[in-house]
Amino acid sequence: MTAQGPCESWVKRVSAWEDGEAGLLDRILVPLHLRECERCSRWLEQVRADERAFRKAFLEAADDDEDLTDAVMARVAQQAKTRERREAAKSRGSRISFRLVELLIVVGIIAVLAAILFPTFARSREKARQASCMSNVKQLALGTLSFAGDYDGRLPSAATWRDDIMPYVRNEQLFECPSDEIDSVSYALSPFVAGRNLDQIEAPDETVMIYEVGEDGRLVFPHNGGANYGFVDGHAKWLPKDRAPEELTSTGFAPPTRSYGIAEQLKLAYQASVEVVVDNLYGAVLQAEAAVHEYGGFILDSTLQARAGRATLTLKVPTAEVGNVVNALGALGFVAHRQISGEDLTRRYVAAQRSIGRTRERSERLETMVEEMEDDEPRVEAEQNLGEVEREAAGLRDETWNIDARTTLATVSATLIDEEPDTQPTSILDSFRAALDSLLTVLVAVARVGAWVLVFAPIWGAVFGLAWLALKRAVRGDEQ
Amino acid sequence: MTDAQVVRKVLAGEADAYAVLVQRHQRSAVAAAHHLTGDREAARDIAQDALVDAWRGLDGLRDPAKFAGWLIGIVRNKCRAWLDSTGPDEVPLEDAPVPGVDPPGPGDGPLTELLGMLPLQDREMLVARHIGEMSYAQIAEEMEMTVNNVRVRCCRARQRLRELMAEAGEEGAS
Repeated sequence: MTAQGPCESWVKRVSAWEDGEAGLLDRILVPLHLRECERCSRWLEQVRADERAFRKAFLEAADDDEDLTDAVMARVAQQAKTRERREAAKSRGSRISFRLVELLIVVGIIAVLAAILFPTFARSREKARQASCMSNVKQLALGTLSFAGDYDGRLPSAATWRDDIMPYVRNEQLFECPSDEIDSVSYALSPFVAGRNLDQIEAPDETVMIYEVGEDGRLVFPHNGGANYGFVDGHAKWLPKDRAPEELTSTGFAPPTRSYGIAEQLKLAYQASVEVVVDNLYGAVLQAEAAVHEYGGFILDSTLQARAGRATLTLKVPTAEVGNVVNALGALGFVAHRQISGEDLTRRYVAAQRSIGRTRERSERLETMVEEMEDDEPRVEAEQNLGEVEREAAGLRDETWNIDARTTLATVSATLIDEEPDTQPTSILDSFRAALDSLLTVLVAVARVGAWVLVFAPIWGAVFGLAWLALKRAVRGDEQ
Repeated sequence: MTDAQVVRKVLAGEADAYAVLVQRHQRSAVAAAHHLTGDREAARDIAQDALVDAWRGLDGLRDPAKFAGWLIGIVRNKCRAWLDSTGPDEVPLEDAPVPGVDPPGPGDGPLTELLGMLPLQDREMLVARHIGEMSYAQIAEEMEMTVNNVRVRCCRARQRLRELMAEAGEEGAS
């Protein structure tokens, strides 16, 4: 058999080729081999004959069988009707599958509901925090009043207030507002009542005693655009930002104008500097100049550098108005820096006045001596002394004049900075930098979107998967 | 019209076109069921059920050109279920076969008898190959075996069948 049988290495390949499952190469090689190899081609003929014989023999078992076509088709027709009825029932509304439009509507409704409800939830949460904060303020106010009760009606000082009232409240958490994310004291005692006696406060129900402060110690409005306040009479109340107590929102700065009985009055010299970021530089400079004139001041220097986005003003304003002028400048935009400092020159002024008095007496004495002297030599010496005394007196008068000038008018240095300076490129380097900035901005935006897509990929996958299934079902439903 | 064309027509909604496939393949289905069960009446019922099931699941047929092999696969599964449900325990005592001897049923040919002497899996392979006209690769995929294994077992089963047929011929002559 092996002498007459097929080539062993070709049996499997020929068999696969005969079954129509040969590889691409064998589809070409096997016919060529069969054409050349007589043994293999004879073997294949034998296999084919065997297959035919077996098939014939196998099928003979059903040769005289009755025809099943009618029976099968009758059952098929019956099942087709059942299937049609079921499909019709589905399309009438008893279906449970989603169509694409329905899915989109559901997603849309969920999105709208979320858009409506999320801000409401946020507001409700903030309301709860506001209520908790108000409880804190109320208890702190009562603690402060208890302290005053024990100290003859005198309120604690602002600096030691927290430690002073701790024995009365005995809870450190009262000093932290629930809306304040920074772990620090969220409340402060008003400097306008600190250290004062309760009897001296004229309207306790209108005077703020405790207010909310930020990290920088300024009044803040953390609760739905407002803040909680504790009043001197012990009640607590929430007020919106536009009804905030004026004394806390303004600087509270006003140089003393009354006489304290030392000489004529205190000689206080003030100077201030302020840096304000504005959105319209030129307009802000004009407004600043107008404000200075309004408060009786004048401008020493005003320089506008549009390209650098900066303007500097050196101003002289009446000392009593320095706080108002600084406030007016601050109102032009966002205050980046603000400083008001004063210097007490009263002692120097009084000393100079006294020296002037003494030099006047000496000068009068010397003048009398000079008139009475007959000898030339001592007379010349006396005249020289007189001259020195008069020069000294002139120097002292200059100093008092300077002190008067400095205490009458305060110097204010204002710097106005453009929020968006002129960014037009002026050189190739600037153009390149601007282009690079834009490119970086786009890249960052793309990266951000990519990150979001990645984060929500499972959700999007589920949504699109459902949408695809719904679409597929819808299309199939339409076809049927 | 090829099987594939008829299948597409049926899937397009022409249920009546399925009659062509029934006429074309009912003989194969009955023969396959007969060889696997050894029961002519049961084979007819199984073939009928398989043809109806094939119509119902026609949209699950991946390659419409291979309808014949797919139908034989359904028949094979139904035959297995039938064989499981009519095990030796359920045969009435008076109908129980004598051990080692397969009684010929009504209409049973000699081949069916001789096939009954082969293991069920070999019978299934031969039926799939010679009635379902499935390739060795298709049979291997269907029965979760390697192609070589299927080829060798088919070859041995055929050889054994030839021997049995030769023995049966000699006995008939004597």
